[in-house]
Amino acid sequence: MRALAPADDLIRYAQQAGHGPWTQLANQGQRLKTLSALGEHTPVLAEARRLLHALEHLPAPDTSSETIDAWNVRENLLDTAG
Amino acid sequence: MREWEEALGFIARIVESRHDRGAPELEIIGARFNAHGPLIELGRLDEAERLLQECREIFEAHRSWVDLARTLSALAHLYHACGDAANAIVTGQDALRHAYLAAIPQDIAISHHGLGVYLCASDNGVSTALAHHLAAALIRDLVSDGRLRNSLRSVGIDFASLPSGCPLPDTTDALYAQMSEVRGARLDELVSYLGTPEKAQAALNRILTEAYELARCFQ
Repeated sequence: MRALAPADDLIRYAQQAGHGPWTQLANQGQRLKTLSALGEHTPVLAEARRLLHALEHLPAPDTSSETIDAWNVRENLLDTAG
Repeated sequence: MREWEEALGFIARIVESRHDRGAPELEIIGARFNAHGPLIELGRLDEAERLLQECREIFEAHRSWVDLARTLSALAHLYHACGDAANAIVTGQDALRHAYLAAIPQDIAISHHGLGVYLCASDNGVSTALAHHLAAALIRDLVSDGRLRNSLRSVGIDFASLPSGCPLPDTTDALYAQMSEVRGARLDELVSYLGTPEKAQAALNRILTEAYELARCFQ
């Protein structure tokens, strides 16, 4: 799906750059937001539940490898899920 | 049903997170606002109205026109869902005026479209409803809004129920003249930012042609 290509690129580049798990989860959240805008509500909700569950088990963010605050990742995911 | 309850749970967690990090009042009420949709879907209409009235007061106090316009649109939708046509129309007009103040074309189109729906449900409102649906369709065409199809369908339904001999605003000037009677609506000014007069007229012609085709399905 062409609309998802930039979000997929971002996920790949963040992994290659060694960004932390919070940043990587945020990027997956951005991809989900795009999918939601495309009207794919059922798969979005399922994936959002999975990512929110994963988020609960992440270690505290390490500021040297993260580019985003934890609250920002959590609120964006909850917003997409809701 | 269970998913709407779950949505309320997600929203409550956002509100809690914003409280915890000391977010400004506007951010917190912005998150709470989103609960109105699930509340309406769950039939908790009184709660939805109380929430929207609270949002209205806070957004008004902060002069946050975008949020206020969206809140008024939601309130108008709620009144319409409750069968209160008069309140839906008055609140819908207020939403439209604030949407023009906020100057976001997509929101203005939503308000025109909503007002068209509420007028359509009232007595003798079809020709005014048609003008609002045409205004929504024109804006959506010019900004390539994906909801254009909804507007075309509404215009088609209006065509099908319009009394014969009723004048149609088939030029942009005629449509602007009709919309200028609505307090705060400056359709001509908005459209002049979105395209040339020729482009706008071509869009309106396209809309009318497609809506005529759709109207045949509703007759």
